[in-house]
Amino acid sequence: MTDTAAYRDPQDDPAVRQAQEGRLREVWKTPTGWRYWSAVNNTEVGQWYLVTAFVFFLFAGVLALIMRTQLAAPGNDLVSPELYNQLVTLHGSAMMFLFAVPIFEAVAILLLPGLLGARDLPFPRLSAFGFWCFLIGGVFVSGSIFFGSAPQGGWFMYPPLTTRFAEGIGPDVWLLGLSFIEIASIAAAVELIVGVLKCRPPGMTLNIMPLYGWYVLVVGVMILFAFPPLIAGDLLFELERMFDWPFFDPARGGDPVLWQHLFWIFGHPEVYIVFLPSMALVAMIVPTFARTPMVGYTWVVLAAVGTGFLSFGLWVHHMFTIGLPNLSLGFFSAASEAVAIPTGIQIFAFIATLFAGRMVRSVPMLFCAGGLAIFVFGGLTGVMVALAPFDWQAHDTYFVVAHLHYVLIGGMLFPIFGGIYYYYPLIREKMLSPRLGTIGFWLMFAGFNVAFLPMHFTGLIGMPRRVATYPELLGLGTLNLVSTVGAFGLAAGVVLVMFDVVRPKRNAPKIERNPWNAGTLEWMGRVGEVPWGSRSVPAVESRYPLWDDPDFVRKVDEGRFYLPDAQDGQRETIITSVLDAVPEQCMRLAGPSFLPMLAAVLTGGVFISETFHWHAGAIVSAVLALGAILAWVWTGTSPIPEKETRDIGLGTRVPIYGSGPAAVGWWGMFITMTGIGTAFASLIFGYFFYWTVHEQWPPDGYADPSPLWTAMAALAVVAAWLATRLGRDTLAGGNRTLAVLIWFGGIIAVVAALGAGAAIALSANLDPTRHVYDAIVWVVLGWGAAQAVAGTIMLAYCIARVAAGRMDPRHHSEAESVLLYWHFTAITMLIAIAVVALFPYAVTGG
Amino acid sequence: MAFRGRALLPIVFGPTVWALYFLVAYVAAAIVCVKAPGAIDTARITLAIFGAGCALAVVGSGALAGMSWRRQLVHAGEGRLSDASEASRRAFLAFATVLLNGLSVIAIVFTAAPLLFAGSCR
Repeated sequence: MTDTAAYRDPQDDPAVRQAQEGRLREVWKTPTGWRYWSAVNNTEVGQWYLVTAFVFFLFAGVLALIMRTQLAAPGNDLVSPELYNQLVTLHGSAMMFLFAVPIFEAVAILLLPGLLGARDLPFPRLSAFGFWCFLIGGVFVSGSIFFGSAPQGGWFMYPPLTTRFAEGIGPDVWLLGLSFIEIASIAAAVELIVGVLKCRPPGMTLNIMPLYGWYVLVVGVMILFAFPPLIAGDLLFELERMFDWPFFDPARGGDPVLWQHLFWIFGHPEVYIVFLPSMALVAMIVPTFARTPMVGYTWVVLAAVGTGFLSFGLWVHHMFTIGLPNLSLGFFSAASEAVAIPTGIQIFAFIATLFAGRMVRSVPMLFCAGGLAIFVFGGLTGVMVALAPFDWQAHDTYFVVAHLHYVLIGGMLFPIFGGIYYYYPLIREKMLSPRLGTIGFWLMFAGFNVAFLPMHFTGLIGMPRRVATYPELLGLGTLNLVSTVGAFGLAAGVVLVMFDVVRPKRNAPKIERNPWNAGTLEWMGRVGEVPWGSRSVPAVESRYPLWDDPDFVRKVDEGRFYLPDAQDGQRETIITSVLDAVPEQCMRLAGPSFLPMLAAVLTGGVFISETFHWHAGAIVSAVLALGAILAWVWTGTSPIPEKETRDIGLGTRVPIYGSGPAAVGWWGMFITMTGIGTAFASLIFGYFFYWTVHEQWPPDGYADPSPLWTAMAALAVVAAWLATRLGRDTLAGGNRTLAVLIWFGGIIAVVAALGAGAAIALSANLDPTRHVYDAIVWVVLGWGAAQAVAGTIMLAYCIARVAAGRMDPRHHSEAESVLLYWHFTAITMLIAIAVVALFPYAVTGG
Repeated sequence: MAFRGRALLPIVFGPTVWALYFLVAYVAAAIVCVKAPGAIDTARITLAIFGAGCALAVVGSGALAGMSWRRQLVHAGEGRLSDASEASRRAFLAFATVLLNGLSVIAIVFTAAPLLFAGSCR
């Protein structure tokens, strides 16, 4: 028996185990009373996220029902055209930004630690911050419709409709409110990527990680490359609306097509960002009810990763009708068809798994199967509209409305509902009603098809999208009436499921753990009962440990694996290596705090003040938000431990403190900077986009930037970068005073770089409201400057940490992360300088 | 080493090459169509050769990964790709590389086809 050693340990003594459980309970206790809202644990934050996202879903659904009622008969006047425009815009925006993406974050934050047998995710306070940003931004955007000031330009906000012809603050609500929520998405992406890579239980090599983990990894990385282009686009757009910088105004050299590019570089991957997490749920549900491991595990990984990549080569298929060269259309048409290959592979893998096992009927399976059937239908119409000539006919008609709802409701919503029925017992320890679930499913399935199948025909007959009404002469009345009836059927199904979830279940029997007899780790959890996640962090040896080792749950419960105790009175989780999950660190996690909420409220204050063009309020809010974030980071991250290592059980001793690539903070910085780098790259794309659309670039009458100032700026940037690095080395070498002095030197170098950068802009005599050339140069330089300013705050933070004794020669993870930040920032600034100062020389021949 | 399942990133070598090819082809064609439409035929041929080179690189790295996959399988034991062992994990990563490279070759061929069939700036 290999387990003899384990069985001889003190865990055999129930009194020991009880004492450990007492300590774990104390450490992981959820705050009570009003302090409950300071919780940062993944189970609380995950549930808040989930409920909030569903409230926005129901809200956006009601908007859809109002639209369907308006369209039930030709010439109807239930709502005014203005209100209809607000409804259509807010329905799309809320479903995508306030439901589809956040529901991924919600489910992943809630489930991922359980799936990985971890105690929590690596940055609990970041999850909480993301949630509060989402809540505030969502309420702000949704609430605008009650004041008649919701955006009216469609969920993609095309200028000039939303610049020259938009009255009121609608577009600002959209741009600023949703930018704010995008921050939450990127925060979640950082959290989840690091969670999957570094928080797996010992022994869980990449090839036995639950498929859900692979999907989360892929989607997290996609968010990192998809959302920043939209944030960059939002920035340009808001600068145009607020300060009249002419990015999308053709009269002054701008071009609305740039917005379309930036929006859809985000918008198309977005579809897969919301679709893949649902496939991840299906990949967890199908093996459970097929009673057999997933067939073609590697093929499903291929599908997830392959879809993630290919989805970035599709965006122009939303722009087939704007007059791009045929050759460009050809590229994107071909890529749009190629993406069907990995998508199909994963569906075949699901079907093969069902064939390989003995399928048990259940409500979750019903939703998954029904969803996949609908999705495949939508995929087929997707291949149709991927062909440019067909798209020219169907573009902007109800055919596209039908297509996208088949894809999103089948591929995203139905599996989520399957997931609700599947995971509800894990969270609440009661079952949902199979009867209500089945009736709800059939109402939804039938209602959906009755609503959306006819739209293919209304579209092909010629009904355009986003119209508040249509004339009787078109003969579309009957089809539209059928769609409306179906929409209410779908809604009835949703209401029934929601009722099943919220109805009191006091008399319902409490269920056993793992009621579906699943094989993956999350089912050993008792989310409602105990606050600590996994009683001990297991050593994992297979893809379905609960199936393969009948004693597994008992051993976990008896604390026979890692971290069975919280003897130091700290929240802890195990950090493991990326490939083979070898334990590397016992990381201490931050506990409950109101600071993330405060930081989110203050950050929200910046965006909301700007919506009303109240700059003073925004500046005050920004300063306070910075203070809150600094206080949070200062008190919550990288404390120097009272001892260097910790015995985590099973004869393993690991460090408590990590720095550089061994610290999750470094990974968090790396991932964040990748996202920020993508946003900057989008601005550079904008610069060169303008170059392609102008005969003369820079336009006539512009002075060349001064070579002297350019060289000075570049030199100063390099000096700041070197100072950051040298300061880190000096601190590691033991000389704190000299390190602090060197960092001071770095700050001075940044100030010099900023001065030289301003001189470049001033020497060329740029006025950003005159022409898009001036504006884009200002934005590119300004972005670099903003990053540099943030970099000086970080250097000052390092200096303060050393002065306060919170960073020393042996513990300097902040200095490592700041250095990493400066690698990215220096490259950003050098590229900014090279593009705005050297490129004009190159194209004009000096 | 790359393609031998010793690191995570090499599994996306194929898709990354596809992305590079796609970006270069799209950007180059867009620029040529705006700045020098007369040169589009030369650009098409150049891009097609570039695409063929990319496809070859992906096939080659896929073949290396395939050999590594077969070698690792010998050590991986009965569970093949599903054991919690380094050999099994390496075999898995190598196999994933093979599959992703296969998909990438198809994607390159797909997105290079317009160069041959739809090559105008109209």
